[in-house]
Amino acid sequence: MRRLKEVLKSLLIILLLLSAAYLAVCTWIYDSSILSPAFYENNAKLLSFLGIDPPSAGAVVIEKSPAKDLVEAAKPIRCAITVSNTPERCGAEYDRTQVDMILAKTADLVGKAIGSASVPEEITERGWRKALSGVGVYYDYLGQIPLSAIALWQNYEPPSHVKALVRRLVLAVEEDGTAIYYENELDHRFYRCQTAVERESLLDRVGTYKPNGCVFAFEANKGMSGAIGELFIFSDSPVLRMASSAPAEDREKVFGTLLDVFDISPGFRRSTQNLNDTLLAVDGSRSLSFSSGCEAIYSDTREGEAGGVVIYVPQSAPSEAEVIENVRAIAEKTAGTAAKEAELYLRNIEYEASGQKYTLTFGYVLNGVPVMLSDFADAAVFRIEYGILTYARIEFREFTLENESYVPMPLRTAILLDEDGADCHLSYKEARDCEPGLMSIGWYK
Amino acid sequence: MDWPKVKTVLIVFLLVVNLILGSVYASRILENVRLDREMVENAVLSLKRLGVTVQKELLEKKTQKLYTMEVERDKGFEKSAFTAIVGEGEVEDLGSGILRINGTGGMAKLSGDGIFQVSLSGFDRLEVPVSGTEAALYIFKKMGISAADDELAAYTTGNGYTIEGTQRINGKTVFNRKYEMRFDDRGLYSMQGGRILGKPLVCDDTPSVSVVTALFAFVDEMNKIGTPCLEILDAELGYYAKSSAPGFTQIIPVWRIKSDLGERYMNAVTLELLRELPQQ
Repeated sequence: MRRLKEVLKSLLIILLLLSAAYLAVCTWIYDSSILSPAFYENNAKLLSFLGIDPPSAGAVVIEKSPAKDLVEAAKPIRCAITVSNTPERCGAEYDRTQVDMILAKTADLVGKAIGSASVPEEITERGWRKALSGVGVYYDYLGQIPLSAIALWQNYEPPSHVKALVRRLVLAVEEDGTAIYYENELDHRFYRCQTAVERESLLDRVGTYKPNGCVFAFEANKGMSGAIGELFIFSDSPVLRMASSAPAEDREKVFGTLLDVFDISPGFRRSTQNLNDTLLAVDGSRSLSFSSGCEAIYSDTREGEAGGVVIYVPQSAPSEAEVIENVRAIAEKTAGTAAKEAELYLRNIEYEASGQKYTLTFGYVLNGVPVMLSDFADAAVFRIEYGILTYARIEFREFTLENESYVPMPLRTAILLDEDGADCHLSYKEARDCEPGLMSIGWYK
Repeated sequence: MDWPKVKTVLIVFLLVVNLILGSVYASRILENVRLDREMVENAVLSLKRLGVTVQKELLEKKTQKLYTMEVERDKGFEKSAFTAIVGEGEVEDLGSGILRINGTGGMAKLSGDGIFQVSLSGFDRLEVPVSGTEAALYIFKKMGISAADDELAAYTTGNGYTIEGTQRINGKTVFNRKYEMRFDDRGLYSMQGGRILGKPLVCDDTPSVSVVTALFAFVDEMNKIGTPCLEILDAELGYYAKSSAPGFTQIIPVWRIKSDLGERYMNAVTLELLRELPQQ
């Protein structure tokens, strides 16, 4: 009997020890100030086994790295849905919200169409205009964008024969399917490709839009003889919000960001000089200057040497979309972050046939309206040679939308008054010498 | 040494330690319960001040944390799964990741994000020895897929029946992965919709937000776009699937919020309001 009592006491001691240990662990675990997030991450399985729901984030093991998502470096400035061959059309331009609403419903189909495009066949301008007037979706990027990048931004792998640079494209409904039409900016010829987008899918999306009186200039009867055919004509002029621009306010902060992005060690600040109010950093063959007018110039003069800002590894043979994405990320971290209400968009990409030299140009767009900087400067220009960034010029500005509205002169009047108005679009225009203040709004070529 | 006495002292000591630790643990739990209750009451009150009515029970709902996952496409598996339905045949790549299998018994069209369309040609049918929702499980088993967790409903139509299914992952609905299977008295003759076929793996350790955070973000977002919400009727945490790169589908936690404005979806990690669920 006595022996049994002792055995029971021993068992009780073991149970009490286990219970104390469990309660101690629970008490610590429920106090996230005691344990680091790494503890929850490393012990996720054990905690789950003990039936404990940890109180903080990091309680899950990452099983894979996410696939690289390519962010759209450009969005159409103008887009339209033609709902019937009459033609009845819903058009949107100079309004980010309206354009985004059309893009939300159609961009994936356009990407899918490019991703499944057949070998292009050349067509006449008449064929192009017929596609414009037919049922379908029309985009105008006001820039030169690789067709393959438009597909990859929607996560569709383009076929190898898709090589054009386009400003305008149409995804059109045809009798036996769908086809994509575009004007190749490299040779200024029109092309058509059959696609795997189902006719019914496109008709379903198109059918949800109501016409808003938008017609192309070539469909309008009179007064548009000086204009290019793809301009949108509405009965009313658009109403735009006034906007102001100013050079980036905190120059020291911007320069710090630039040093960080261009991977120039803060240690090189000792070689930073103040020259005519220009901030300067030199790291061997690489230099970075930031002028009082908020223009940053980065230059890398080393030839064939390793190092610097690597955009891609030459042996990896990257797609244009990957090059654009890596440069876009730099543009976004620099000019994009400082720009407040404006966004950056890709305006142009030029490359040598060897694919080892690229020049990318970005512009600012404010609520769907392009911005012209003083002296017609681009917001940012990047030059890449053999995968290394060799030159960058970035214009830092801050943009703010004001509460007042402005109605620009009608497009027909602008075309009559300005002989250069053949291919015009509305723009905000910065004051001369990038002086802070309200920007003007007008029709510019 | 007098071991019986030592054991007795040890038992008393351990009882005291357990009592202290137990009371600390219990007080933490009680404190959490009190904080939760207070948070719910404050949330109801704050939403009321914003002009939004919400039932307290909705905010008391406990939901597990969900994480963003990703699935890589496995074309080999897709081919073998759908060949089991339409029979062996030529596989055509239509571009944009769309595959068409022209099998001996019918045609299957598949795209990279799990969307499929199968039609069995002419008089060919896939015989199914069971009926009702069991038939869907039988078909998926034949394809090498476990669909036991899916939400299934069967209803009769003409001389057959249709099964409607919604995919569930970790017990949560994938709102935009629904499918439909049609049967007649001889078996399966068509199926279409979307279902992620691969194994989702966690790719981000940021957890989904609580229902309270989601509702405040939703109300704020609706106010910003000029369509204020007046009453929240329900909120459910689930997933939505979207293509994230060619051949990859991301499965993102999302709150489905039913209000007087209808049904809206909000990314439960970034709190972005989705314009609409991507088409399936």
